[in-house]
Amino acid sequence: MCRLDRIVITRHANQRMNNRGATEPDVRKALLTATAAIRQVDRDNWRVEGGVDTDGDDLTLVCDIGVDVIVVTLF
Amino acid sequence: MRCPTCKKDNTLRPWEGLTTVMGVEVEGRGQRCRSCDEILIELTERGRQERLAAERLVARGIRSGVEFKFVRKLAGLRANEVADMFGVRKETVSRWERGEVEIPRTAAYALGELFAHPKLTRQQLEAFAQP
Repeated sequence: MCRLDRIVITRHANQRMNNRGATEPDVRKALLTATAAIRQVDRDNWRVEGGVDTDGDDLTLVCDIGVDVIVVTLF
Repeated sequence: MRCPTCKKDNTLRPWEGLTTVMGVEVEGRGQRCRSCDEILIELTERGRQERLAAERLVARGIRSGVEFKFVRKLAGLRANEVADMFGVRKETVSRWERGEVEIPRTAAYALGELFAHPKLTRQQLEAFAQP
């Protein structure tokens, strides 16, 4: 889905990107380099871990994965 | 698409309005949930907004380390590449970006040029580095 460019961000994720200085290529790279997606049953979403941003720094994403990948937050 | 916040179906409608990217207000578009007011933006649209914000920051003048890092990333440059082109150590670029050391105006200007005219500016900087 990432390669098909079906990626959407929430208002909160947008704000988190501003706070962290993360850019569109950072989020794209973190999704493509992630090594694990852990289901968070209580929150009904996925924690996408092990990915890095364009500087090689860790970037973890919390996503709602359905027809599209909806990035809910990042840290 | 289901709203990821309120989990309701068929509540998303097209939306256009002002949004803030790195402190710069830009026109944006996406979808708004009529139930919980959540706004969803496609990542490609966020990328368009970032380039617009970076253009405005460069036109105004890069003033902070956060802005420097933002423009550097959008120019597709790593910190060590910028360091090599500007003739400084990578640690120096990191200190500029963390706000520990003031960014030289010439470096802020050169980064703006690298963002606006990547190929030409890179060639010019490399020519300066020749002995």
